[in-house]
Amino acid sequence: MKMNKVYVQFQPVVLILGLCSGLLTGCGTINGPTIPKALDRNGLISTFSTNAFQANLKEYREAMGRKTSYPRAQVLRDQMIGSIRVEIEMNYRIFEQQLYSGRATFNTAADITELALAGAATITHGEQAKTIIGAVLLATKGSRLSYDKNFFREKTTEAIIASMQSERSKKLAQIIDSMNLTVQAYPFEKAWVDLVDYFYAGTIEGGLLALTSEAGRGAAASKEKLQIVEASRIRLLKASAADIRATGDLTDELGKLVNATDQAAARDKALAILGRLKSDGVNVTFDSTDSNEQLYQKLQDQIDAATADSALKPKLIRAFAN
Amino acid sequence: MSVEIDGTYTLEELESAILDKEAAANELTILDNNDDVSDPKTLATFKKLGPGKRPKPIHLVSSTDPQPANTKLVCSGTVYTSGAKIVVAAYRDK
Repeated sequence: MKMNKVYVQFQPVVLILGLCSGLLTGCGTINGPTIPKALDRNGLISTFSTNAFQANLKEYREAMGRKTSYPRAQVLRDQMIGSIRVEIEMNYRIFEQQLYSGRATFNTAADITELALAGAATITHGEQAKTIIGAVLLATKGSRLSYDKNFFREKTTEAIIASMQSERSKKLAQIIDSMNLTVQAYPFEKAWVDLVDYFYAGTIEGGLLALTSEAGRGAAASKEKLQIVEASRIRLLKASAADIRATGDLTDELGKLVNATDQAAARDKALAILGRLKSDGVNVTFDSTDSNEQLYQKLQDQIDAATADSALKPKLIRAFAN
Repeated sequence: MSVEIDGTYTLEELESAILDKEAAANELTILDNNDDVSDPKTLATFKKLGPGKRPKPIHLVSSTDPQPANTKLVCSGTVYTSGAKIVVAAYRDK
């Protein structure tokens, strides 16, 4: 009797879910026109069989063993790359289509189920049934979230596909570029590795990784900047006791200008030293609008630069001495 | 400002290079290395003191050696000398 009562309470739910599943079954096949036989991955034309590959590889390796056969080896290399590429390409297209429609179907099913359950919860009588429907609704939402999080890292299908396509284009351009190289410079074994990269660029993992890398590209740019900084980092020279003394003397002379009571005279002297440095071919920029502090700092920067430029110190000594 | 010093320099040559840099109104703050045996470099970071200013003399000693008299520790770090890593301490005259 009790069972009968619960069934009656669930009747609207069963009805709605039944209708939804009917709707869903009609959605799976609208993906694109029929694939031509030459492009069908199951067709014989486009299949690069293991035997054909092994035969090509064997012949390629034999050709690589003789210098005179390098042109033949190159033809074989390009053939193998081309054949593998066709397979990767065809499989990728189908995968992309399935990914799109599969996820869309799942999301649509989840949407409809959620809507149906929410609707059913409102029209169902009885607290027990409402509680059960609520729990199922919660589980459905949780499952969708978990599916999105675990398989797609909450990225949209479009974003993942765009990312995969972009990564694949980059890898393919790299392969095509390398095919212009001789067979010695770009042997098939190298191309093989690039083809593996090309294949994996067209997987969800590859797409997600590239999306993550996009965010990390800022970090890469910073790293590159750091490398440039490192490359341009000043290299200190060996310094004798006389060098150290000379550097110290120059700084002390500058110190006298900085601390001079007659700053107008000190400024004139600083300008004169900078002028002499410029005349002596030192790359220093200054003008009459510079403040005293700026002029002194420019002189100190030159003294500092001389610790990594042996030709600069004698020029500074001359400029300060005059 | 970070500079690099040839990792093949002896400890004395490294000290002299740092002394020269300090004589140009800079003060050593950090000693480090590029962790590359094939192209060893000591990396030294300096603070600019402003025109005409010089810090008191600095002494670079191996960490196993005693602290020179009347000095205070500035920093210590692993550097390259003669192509090998050693830990040194930098002491400045009080």
